Amino acid sequence: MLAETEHSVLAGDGADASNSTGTAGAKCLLQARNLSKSYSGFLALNNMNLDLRAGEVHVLFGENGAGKSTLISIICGALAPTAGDVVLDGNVLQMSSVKDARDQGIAAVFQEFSLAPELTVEENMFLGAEVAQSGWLKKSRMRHAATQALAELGFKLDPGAIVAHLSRAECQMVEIAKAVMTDPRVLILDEPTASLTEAETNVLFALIERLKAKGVGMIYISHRIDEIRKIGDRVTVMRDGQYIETLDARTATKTELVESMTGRSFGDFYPKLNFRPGDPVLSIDGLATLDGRVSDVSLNVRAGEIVGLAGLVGCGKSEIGRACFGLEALASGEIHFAGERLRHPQPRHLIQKGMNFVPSDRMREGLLMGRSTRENLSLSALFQKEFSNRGFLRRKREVKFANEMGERIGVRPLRIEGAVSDYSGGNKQKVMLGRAIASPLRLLILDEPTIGIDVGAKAEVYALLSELVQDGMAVLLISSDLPEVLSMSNRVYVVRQGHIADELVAERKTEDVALKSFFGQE
Amino acid sequence: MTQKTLPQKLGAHLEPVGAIPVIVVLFIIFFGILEPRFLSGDNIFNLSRQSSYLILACLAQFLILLTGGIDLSVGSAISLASVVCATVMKSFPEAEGAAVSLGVLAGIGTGGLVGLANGIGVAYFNVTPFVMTLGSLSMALGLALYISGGYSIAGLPSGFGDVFSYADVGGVPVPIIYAALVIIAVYLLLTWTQAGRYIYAIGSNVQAARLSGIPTKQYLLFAYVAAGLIVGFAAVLMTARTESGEASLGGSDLVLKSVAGCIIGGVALTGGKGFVRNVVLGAFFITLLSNGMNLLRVNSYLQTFIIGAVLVLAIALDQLREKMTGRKTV
Repeated sequence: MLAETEHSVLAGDGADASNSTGTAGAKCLLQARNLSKSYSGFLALNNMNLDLRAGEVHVLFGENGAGKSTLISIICGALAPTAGDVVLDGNVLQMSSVKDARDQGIAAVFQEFSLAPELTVEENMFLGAEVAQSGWLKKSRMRHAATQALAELGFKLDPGAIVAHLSRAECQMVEIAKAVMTDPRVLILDEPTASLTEAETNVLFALIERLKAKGVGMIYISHRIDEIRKIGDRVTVMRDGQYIETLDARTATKTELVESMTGRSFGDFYPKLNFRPGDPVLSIDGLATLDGRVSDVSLNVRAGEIVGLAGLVGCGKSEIGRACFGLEALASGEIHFAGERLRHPQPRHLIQKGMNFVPSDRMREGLLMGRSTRENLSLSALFQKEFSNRGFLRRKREVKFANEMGERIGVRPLRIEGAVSDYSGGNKQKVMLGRAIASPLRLLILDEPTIGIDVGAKAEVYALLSELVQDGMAVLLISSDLPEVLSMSNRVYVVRQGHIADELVAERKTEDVALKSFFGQE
Repeated sequence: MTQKTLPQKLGAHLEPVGAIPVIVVLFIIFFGILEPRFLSGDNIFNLSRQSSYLILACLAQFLILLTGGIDLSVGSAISLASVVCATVMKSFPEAEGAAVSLGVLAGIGTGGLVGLANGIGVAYFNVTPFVMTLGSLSMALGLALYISGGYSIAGLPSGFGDVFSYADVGGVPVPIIYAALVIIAVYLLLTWTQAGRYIYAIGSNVQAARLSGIPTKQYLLFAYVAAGLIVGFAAVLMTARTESGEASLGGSDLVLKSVAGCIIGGVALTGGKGFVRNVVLGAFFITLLSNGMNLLRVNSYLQTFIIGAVLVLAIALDQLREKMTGRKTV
């Protein structure tokens, strides 16, 4: 069954992780030895080595699809390797489930949550490890322990709250609390700060410091370079399922990391943009949504410019974009698009008029996961004469279009008939973008267009946006990535508690000014 | 990098085909060895003819499963359509041609109306498909029994039975031809039209479909009505076969068999996945199983048990396959 590919020819070269810098002298806690994993002939992980010392934060760095997730899934017992071992304290581990790993003291916090949404925070924290006596739950004891644990962690969470009612950031905290409660010796954190605010991130970092002091070894996946320098001890770079190199996290530069990760060198990360703004394409006046998360918002976006919406997670910036596309019930205010007032915005009509929206949640709202890349790319453009004639599809044209669009947006490897779910996050994001620009467009609204995608894919998304804007399209860029929104936008509106707190133009478009207005003046 | 090995290439070609053709062939050989009469020309003919009705029910079920729903009302919609078809046909005793035409239209239309009701409930009132069709199961059956008074409505024009059941065209029985026409129509709908693509999209991710500008409610309704019309047509063919309208025509096992045929044909219960060809083979397989068991004189109560077991087994094997190939585990 195991197919011979050219990957295995390279196996074994440069894969020695032992000669590395950092917390020298500390004893080796966990080792991944020559781990490989193949999926029906495709090598997701190829002879990978990694060593983790007690009390260090070891960062895994690499593009989406580089094999990081496969590696940590094996270490935490969720996947069985095709070859190789996981070694803890010098003993080879035999694990067939996450529970086996947990019993050995290995705990993991994944990006995809493993919480039961209808249960409470406390019930989730004890899930699988309930305190019970002859089958009867000891609820008050658990409540007490949960309250205490959360307080110790510094997380402001109500143990009785139903998880389904929590924000993404809060769910993330519950996941972390759940993992830490098992008192692990090895803790795996997969992009834990992706949905956290600044303050929450600081709480998490403080926790990481405490765990370090206790001698817990942590494997930490992150795409944020500042973060890596702040809390990491060593960084191991992966590419194409293979070990590339291990660097000292404090001294590694951004260029060094990015080049090592992508295997190619980068010039300036963000493209140089020369905006030539034209007439307003979108103008919003006194907009409020029925749920009250947006109130009295007025802004405009002109042709040929990117306008940013920045603000903390949950500040309502995303809802502004969604409201324009008809995804939020409106309470009051006016939306004008291309000189026409939108009374009852609906995706279908808006797409035909030349507005499109790329949602932030690829899985829930973005893609038809089980369907092919071709079908995903053409989906919102099928109404056009080019793709259908009296309800019948023009499939040859569709195939041609999918191939061309796939090339243009840089989906690699391009397999238009393969299920889109097989692609990495970066490719999925590109497919969503490709779908949005498939029909003639005047305004594109992007909600967190680079969340969870690697630096290489980000650069390609930026290049595509700059190309679109040069052609005179208007872009509303909603992003929690502050450097991104500041660098890519002509103007940035800061959203705070559902209203526009500030508009940053020219020399006021800096991180300092933006952050101040994120939190208000007080 | 993109060079593929032979097994991979084979796998890629076989994947959409699935295991079902292999299973069908294996069972034909299996029954053929145990009971040589099974392979006689008469029996194969009979088998194809029998399977036409289930193929129609499965295709209707397939359209609904594709949207991520389930249609529990297939059986009782057939009962109702049969009773309405027969009642209308008997209302015009003096003009046979007109009576048959009107009866057939009434039967198909009744199926369409049940589909319309289901579709409105599901698409516009957000009733879950399970509950909606469970309700219409009871409603349609109740109406069928009410209209017929619980008796079979016999004495239909003889031309009706001929044209819709007993005639043949060049030696091929008409039910097979009607089923083939519907198979082609559903295939064209799903593969070559915008509506078909949208049905797949809705089942795969309704929210993504909406954000891509698809009027999801309209197409959901469309799927239910189309399924209803197919059910109505199946009812007409079945009424012609028994030459009477009967409230017991659908029966509860038809729902089970229609779902089983789809599942065995690889249709995902979560929606958005499945092929017409495999559904047809799935339906054929179920009929083949019944037919083979009849020839082998398997107790009929035991047959009911076996069909249920096959359904559960098919789902379990499918889950196992997904686990083994490492798919769908993110």
